[in-house]
Amino acid sequence: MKVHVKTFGSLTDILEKEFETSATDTADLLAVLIAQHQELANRNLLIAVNNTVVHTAVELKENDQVALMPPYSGG
Amino acid sequence: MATERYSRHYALKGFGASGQQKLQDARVLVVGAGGLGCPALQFLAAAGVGSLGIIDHDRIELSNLQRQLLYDSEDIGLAKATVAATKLRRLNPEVSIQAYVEQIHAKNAAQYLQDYDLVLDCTDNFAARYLLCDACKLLDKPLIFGAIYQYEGQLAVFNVADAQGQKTTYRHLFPHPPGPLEAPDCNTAGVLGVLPGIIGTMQATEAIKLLAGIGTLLSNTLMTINILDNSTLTLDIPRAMPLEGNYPSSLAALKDFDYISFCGMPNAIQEISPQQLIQEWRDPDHLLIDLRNAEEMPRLPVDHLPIPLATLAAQVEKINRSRVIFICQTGKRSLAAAQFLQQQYPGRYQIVHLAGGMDALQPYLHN
Repeated sequence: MKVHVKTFGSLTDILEKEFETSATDTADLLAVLIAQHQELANRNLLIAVNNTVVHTAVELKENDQVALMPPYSGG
Repeated sequence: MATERYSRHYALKGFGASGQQKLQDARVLVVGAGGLGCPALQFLAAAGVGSLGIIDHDRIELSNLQRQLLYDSEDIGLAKATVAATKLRRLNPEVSIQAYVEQIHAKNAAQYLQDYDLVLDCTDNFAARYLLCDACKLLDKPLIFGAIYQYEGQLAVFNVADAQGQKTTYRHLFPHPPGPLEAPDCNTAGVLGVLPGIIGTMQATEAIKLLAGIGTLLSNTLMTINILDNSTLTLDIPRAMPLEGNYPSSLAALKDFDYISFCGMPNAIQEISPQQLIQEWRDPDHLLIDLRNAEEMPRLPVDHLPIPLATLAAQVEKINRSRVIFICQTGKRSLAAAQFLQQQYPGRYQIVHLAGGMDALQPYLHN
């Protein structure tokens, strides 16, 4: 499935701020990205699909919007 | 209450005298008087919140002045909480202000939070954020969360029921803390000075709305703002998710929870001396573990659990107390065991090891 991905915070140092890619579910999407960018392995990320935070692998449908966001600590 | 001071609130449709009275009756604790805390405190004091608490153990540095507008060049080196309190009293003498020049930690958090109706997380590190998350959940206090990174901010209201009566916490966003190198702070990553001004002001906005009972809150919602392209994203936080990971489930457990090692921050393994050990080894709060093999002598003359280091990983479930003392022959295996446990089960145990091991203890054994 073609999905639209947005990245946030320090992730934009590794990935484009917005891009399209193909993945069957969120776990597959992460695996694909980690295969391309080793430094993403073991990163603590929040994943949201169509503006809802998900904590388990969620099936992706055509044109889903995925957000990948790290925690921010600054204050 | 001075009528003129709040005349614009009185005139405000939907706010008025009743909204103002609710602010006057409220007690708000702001944890962190830095980039987020300064604007939040200024607006809360100006708005006439009845009682404001400020916790911060830091001192004012020159590099703070680019964004922490409560302070000026003459305040360098002074305690933030004290200076903030002085300036806020000048801004609004009607507000009762308590300044605590102290670091909030697991042992004192509940004691501070208990006195307040509402807490603002204006801290700058994950150990404090997870601590506030857990303490506010256990005490059922609303927590207004703000965090920043370079040009982006995150904002949410935790522990406040939405229309369906559901509440969430920071752990519903990030059940596990990041590694120590994963999320750089403002010192290393930099921050545009206006960003904490915006996010801290929005935290104050949510606080005022919550206290006055107006508008819609960011409960169960994470809002992110990027000030470079003015984009915002609002994410729904799932309510029904069971909490995963390691977290304290009672106020007693909170006090013993080690947030520093939970957040993977380098926490030196504490040592215990032979003399101290002998004083404390019958204390039933501790679990004494001998990591040596059965043939290594002399054996410990008090109750203990023998777990040879090689079998530690397989026997972790036998460690049924949070305070653990590791002992071996020379102190090497006990240090390795402590590091292993801290890495594998961050925050679960308070670990000390006997420096110098049995070799150091032996001279004291027959006295």
